[in-house]
Amino acid sequence: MPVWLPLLLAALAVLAIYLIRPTAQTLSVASTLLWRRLLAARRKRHDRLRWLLSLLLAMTVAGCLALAAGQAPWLQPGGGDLIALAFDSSPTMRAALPGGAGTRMELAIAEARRTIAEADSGSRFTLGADPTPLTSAEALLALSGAVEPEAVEADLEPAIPSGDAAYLFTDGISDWRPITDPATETRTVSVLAPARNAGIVLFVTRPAPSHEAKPEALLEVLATDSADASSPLRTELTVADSETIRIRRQLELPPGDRFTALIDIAGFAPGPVVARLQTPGDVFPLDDRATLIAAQTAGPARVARPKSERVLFVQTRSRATFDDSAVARAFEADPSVKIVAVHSETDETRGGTATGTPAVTPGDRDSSPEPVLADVAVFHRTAPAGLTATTRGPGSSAMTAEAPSWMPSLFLDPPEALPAGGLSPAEAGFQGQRRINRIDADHPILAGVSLLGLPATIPARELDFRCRPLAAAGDLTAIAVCDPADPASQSASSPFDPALPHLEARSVVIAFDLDLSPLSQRPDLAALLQNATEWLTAGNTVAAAERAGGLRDAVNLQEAANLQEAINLQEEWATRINDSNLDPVPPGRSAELTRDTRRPWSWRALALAGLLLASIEAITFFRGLTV
Amino acid sequence: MADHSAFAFEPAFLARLERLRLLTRRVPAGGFKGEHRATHLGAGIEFADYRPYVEGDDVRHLDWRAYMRFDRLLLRMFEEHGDLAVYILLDCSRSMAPTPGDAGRRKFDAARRIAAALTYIALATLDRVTLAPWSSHAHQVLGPLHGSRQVWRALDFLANLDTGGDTRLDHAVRQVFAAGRRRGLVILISDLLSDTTEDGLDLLLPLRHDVAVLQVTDHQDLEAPLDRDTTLVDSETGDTLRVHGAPTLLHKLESEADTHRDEIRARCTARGWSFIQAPVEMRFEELALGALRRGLLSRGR
Repeated sequence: MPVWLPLLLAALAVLAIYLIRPTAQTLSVASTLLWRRLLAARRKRHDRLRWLLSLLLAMTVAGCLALAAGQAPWLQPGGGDLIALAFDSSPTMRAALPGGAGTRMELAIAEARRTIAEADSGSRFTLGADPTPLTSAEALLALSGAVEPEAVEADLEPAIPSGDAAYLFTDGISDWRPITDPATETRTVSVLAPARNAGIVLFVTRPAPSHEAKPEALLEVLATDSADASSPLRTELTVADSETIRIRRQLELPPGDRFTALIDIAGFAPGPVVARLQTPGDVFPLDDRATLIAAQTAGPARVARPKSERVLFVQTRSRATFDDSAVARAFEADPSVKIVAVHSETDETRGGTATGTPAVTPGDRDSSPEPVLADVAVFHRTAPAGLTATTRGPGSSAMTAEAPSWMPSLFLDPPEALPAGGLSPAEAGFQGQRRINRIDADHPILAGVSLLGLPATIPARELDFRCRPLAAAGDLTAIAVCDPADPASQSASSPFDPALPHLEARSVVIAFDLDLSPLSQRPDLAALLQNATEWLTAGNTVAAAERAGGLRDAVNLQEAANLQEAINLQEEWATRINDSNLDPVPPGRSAELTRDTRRPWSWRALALAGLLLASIEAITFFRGLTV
Repeated sequence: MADHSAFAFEPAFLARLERLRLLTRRVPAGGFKGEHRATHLGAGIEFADYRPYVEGDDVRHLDWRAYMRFDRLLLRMFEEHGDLAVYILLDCSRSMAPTPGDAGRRKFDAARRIAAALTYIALATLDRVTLAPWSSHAHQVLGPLHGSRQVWRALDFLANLDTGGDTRLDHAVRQVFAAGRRRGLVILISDLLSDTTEDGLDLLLPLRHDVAVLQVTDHQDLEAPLDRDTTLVDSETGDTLRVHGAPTLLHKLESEADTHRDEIRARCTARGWSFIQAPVEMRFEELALGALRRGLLSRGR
């Protein structure tokens, strides 16, 4: 419900009250002299006090109504039960319900809302492991926010705050076992809605028994279906390397059956091997794709990882500026993105996150930059050293880190004096705010992104002919992409900058300041960056690093093990989305689920409405507009 | 000719009017012969009194017989008969006819009848009559009229009057007497429903006129069909006044009207002026009787 709707309803109610009131009789008299003299004498005695008391009472009543309706926390009766609400945060809670009405987590939230609504007046609630007691209104408000499985760390044994009762909302698939106080009455609410699913449960490589130098891949697909399903589950399996699809196969799997294949990948192109399932009616997409990264130095510990996770290395001019930027917020909103290192030209601190991936942020110009283990290098208002050795200005001389040439790059508002992502240095004096009027709407980077008409301050740069403009304002390129796989890029080097290195990896450049653009206020920015990182990682870059030898010295066996641990390959139980000892929810209950985004009335909004009502009452009272 | 139906006095009534005359305690000498005795003595024919001779007196008025008897020079004084300047200030504000129709004009019609009757009396006794209608300001003044032949002209004038504007007696007094008119009898005919009444009366005081105030009242003003909550609209100014519990206030309103009337009556009495209440229902004969009691009229001839 939009915010303005309650206010509109309140205004209509006030108007209705005003209109249905009997208006005072109007009478023309010869003169009001005598009346005024009479009333003046009366008001001196009683009327003023009576009017003030009446107004005070009216305002008090209106205020009480508003606060009571808004369920102000300090007006709610205390002494009710303390109820803990805990939600299973395992991946299977992302499984869609049959019919596509929502996910299991959304069903869990709906059940929690129902529990809150049916609880005794005065009850308090805790959400998850947070011991802070909330009123029913606050709990509903919190539940209407971002309680999503992907936003919650998968904690299989959360400690639920002690209380009078605990409600555990789960599908019963995982080993999610919350720790509750034995004195707490615990009830498990099932959100299990059986549905069909096919998932990749194993995708590993090993040396072939016959020829140790020739690796082969072991792939397993598991079919899961509801108990009453009679027809086999049909799915299409494709296995592709970095160049083309090598295997395409239609599978028919009875529920619970398993398909196993040994794939000779010796003839595959260097790079990642991607297996993908396409299953009609599949409700759990998390296990439908798996990527095998060829890391020969890691021996048999080749890594399968979900395609949805992308690791970014960010280089920026100022870390503080980046942290406050719309770009950082957009990356934070993308759960498939993980920033492993942020390097700035001005900060001496080394970035990095506890992912097991080496944090690589050299801060000393004289030290040799360490290789970066990431999928995408993001250059925020700066440009890589390799490109700028001859052209950068004095203001950027402190930059020391550079990304490997094989790493895809995302340039965000590069410095005007520097070339970046196929764009030449900007011509001085040629820039101005324009509106984007040309886009390549078919490109996946712009899928779901609305850019037409967007005002942007774009420097005048020349675009390498090997690259493609995706968005432009007149003759100014706003967004451009470079793809080595594009036939146009197979030509000679750039005509405007012979020093521009050969295109080894994809790059995307957004040539205007996103923070100053209206795009930063719209969800299109997150979609744009998500699309860009997804497009940049479509060809696996770690394999390219192996080919270039850049990663060989950087990654050892231990690091690969860490990487395997960090990428959280889906366990087999996650694919068994119906394998639960809980009773499924009644079909009608899940079918009734609609995405309930209603926000409960906040007591502030209602207090405001009450104040408005009282103000109007006061005005009409003193102005004599109504009784 | 204007419609005189409002002033269609019967012959018998007119005959009774002709036996009345306006009375004033301070009669200024008029320039024309009239039926009012002057307060000063002069060239009349009726002996009034003696007074001692002072240098400069007309020796023709010396009473030589008295000189022979009392050995003092005494001057014979005679009453001088002159006309009386009568100013009839007629309230023509909107409050005199707050609503359309005959019922709404009762105060104004009554006021015009009173003015017509008093004009008839004054002209019949050879007084000089000035008709001065007013509301927020002084309107066109008629007069001074002298002689009974001017009666029809005065009636025409009164018949053509209409109401409008608010009540500003102070403005009217300033404008009517700005030209320094003769001292005389000022007859104010009004409902006196204005804050400016007292200011207007105060302006008359330094002019040393004799003043008679006739308050025309209508009980309808105090018996309005009020609801419990009523917004009163002033017919003159359009101002609104919110009244709660109006029915219970009506009897208090009557008391307030009495208080208001008593305040003006007290002010008039303190200045030696006459104050007469003239309800619209009252016949002129009853009004004249009240006027006789209060010294505004007297039986003459």
